[in-house]
Amino acid sequence: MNEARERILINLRQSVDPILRIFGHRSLPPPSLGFALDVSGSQPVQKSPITYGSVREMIDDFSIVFGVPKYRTSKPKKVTRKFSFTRLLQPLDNLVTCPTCSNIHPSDTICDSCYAKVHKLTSEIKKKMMQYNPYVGEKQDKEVYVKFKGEPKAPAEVVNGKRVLEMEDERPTWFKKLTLKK
Amino acid sequence: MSAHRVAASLPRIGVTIGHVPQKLKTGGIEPSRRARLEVLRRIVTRTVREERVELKWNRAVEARPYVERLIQLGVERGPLDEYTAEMMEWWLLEKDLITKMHEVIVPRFQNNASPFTSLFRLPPQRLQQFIQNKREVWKRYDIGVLEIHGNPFPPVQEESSEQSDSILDILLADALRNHQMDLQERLNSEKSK
Amino acid sequence: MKVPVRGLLALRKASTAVATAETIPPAVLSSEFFDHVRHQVYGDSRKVDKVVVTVKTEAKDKPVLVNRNVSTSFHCFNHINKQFADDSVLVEVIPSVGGAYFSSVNQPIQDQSEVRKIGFDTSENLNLVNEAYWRSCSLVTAAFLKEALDVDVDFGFPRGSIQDGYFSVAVKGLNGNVFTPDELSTINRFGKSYIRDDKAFEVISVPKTIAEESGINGDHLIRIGHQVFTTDGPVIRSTRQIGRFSILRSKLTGKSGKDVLVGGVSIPAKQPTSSYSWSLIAKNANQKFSKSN
Repeated sequence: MNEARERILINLRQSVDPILRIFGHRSLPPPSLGFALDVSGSQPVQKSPITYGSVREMIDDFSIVFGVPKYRTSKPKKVTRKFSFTRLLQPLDNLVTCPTCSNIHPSDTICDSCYAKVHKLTSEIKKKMMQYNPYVGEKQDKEVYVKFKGEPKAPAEVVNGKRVLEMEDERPTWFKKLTLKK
Repeated sequence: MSAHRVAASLPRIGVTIGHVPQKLKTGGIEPSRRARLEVLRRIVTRTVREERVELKWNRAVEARPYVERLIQLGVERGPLDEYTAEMMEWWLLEKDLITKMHEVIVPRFQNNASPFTSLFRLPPQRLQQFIQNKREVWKRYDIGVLEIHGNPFPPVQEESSEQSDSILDILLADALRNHQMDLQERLNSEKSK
Repeated sequence: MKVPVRGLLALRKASTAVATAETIPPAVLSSEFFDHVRHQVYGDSRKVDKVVVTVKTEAKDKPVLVNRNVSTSFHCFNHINKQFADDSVLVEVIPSVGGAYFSSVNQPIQDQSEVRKIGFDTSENLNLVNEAYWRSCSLVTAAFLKEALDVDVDFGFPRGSIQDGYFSVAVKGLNGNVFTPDELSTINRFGKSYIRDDKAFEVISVPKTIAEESGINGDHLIRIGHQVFTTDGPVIRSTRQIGRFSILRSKLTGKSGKDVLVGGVSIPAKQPTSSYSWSLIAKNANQKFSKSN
């Protein structure tokens, strides 16, 4: 593990060294144009090329030229970016149409308009189901048989074995009466 | 009877059991492992009482295997078993529901296998929560419908009846019948050769 | 002045002679003729009369205000929603005065009535739907054959049913030339692009008097695209409802042996199949067609 880490550091240093050297070189003095008044008193300074000992030093020296914000982003601009539609909203691509009522819903859910219908009738039946008085000994110890208005009375075996709930409204067309298949 | 021994002797629950226990919270109890059980207990009681409930999706998913296990205990071990009685006693907060469980729900599944419940998912609903100083607060929820099979309510999902009179069915049935006859003839003719 | 008896008799003879001699020739079925008959049957579309039609749906009945003799059941269904209207294949019309009858969706409504949509998934009227579909397929075949063939052809529609496994159209005027496989494939390609164009089946219910006058033998006048035909029953709403469609074969038929009977098979778009099932169905239809007389 440590060897690997050392190897990585060595490789990094080797790849960075040429870059340090390049940036370290000072540019050559301008070529003399051969004028009489050419002040060539100052000898072309041949300083040794500057090499940085580490990346840190290079950054310290040159950090001033790196990309940097020029102006502070105003609050409106920040807020625009934070609450833009691309960030807040995602298009849904898993929508399907209910074959019964043509309402649109995600593919992994059931149609909520169809369920709303079912929920309404279920709540009515539940209300009737819960109307029993435990203080007088009525118990929920029998299966429930739902009878709608206008339907014939339940046969005797049902009445004895099940608890009959009388609903005031007529049976909706979509709640089909299940008949036992023989 | 040790709970582990009993659990091992029962058949598998035919429903996915999540491996990340949800941190269920409810008013009046500090969230903890015990609080989660309390929430689940209330959900199970409500499910047995009403036989079809709508609740938050993650809670429904959490509670479903518990309902299944309770019913399974009743089916496999009967009402007189010590462990079953203890479980029913703890899980069902209303004691008349124990009667309901043993006399109404368990007999439905004497010859059926798990799963005894169904869970349906509704599209995300936007429901009103409360009114705070005349400001209505609405929140979005993922709702699931958990129901025990055999309930007297209209079915959530209508099974589309198989129509054998539609054009495709008539044509296909005819085609298959003739195809079969052809194959049979070919077989017979080859046999006779 | 008294007309001499012989003159009278002659007159009477003349009038009866006119009645018998004037056997009206069958009308040339063209698009203009269709518009003419529509004008005759349904009156001037400039004089628009409103009528209330109740659309019966699963949930509740919705009353809709439409134009008498101009709006069709399709327009009524569009008031519910587009998918409801697109799904409709036939419609049961229960007028406030008179008996209920089944009609095509693109047939104008004449009186205040209740309408009930019948689709491919309505279980009660499946036989009717199947019949109408088979009829429509024959008509569509005739329509695109007429467009495709540059010979002047006429069509006959032999009675067929779904149980046959194929539908057929008799083409008169081809002089006994059966289609070659190359021609069949071109026809099939043309037919499929014709069908994909979503052409509506415009229908006029022609009463007996006008039918006799104009020489139409049939209850209904139907227009698909630019082609006009007569039939005796309701048809589906639009060619878009046709899914898999294929003309399989043609053979000689008829007393003279000059009529070409073209057979094909099709399935509604709402009842998708795998290509294997379709190949079985097509093969079966082909065999049955060849075996039939």
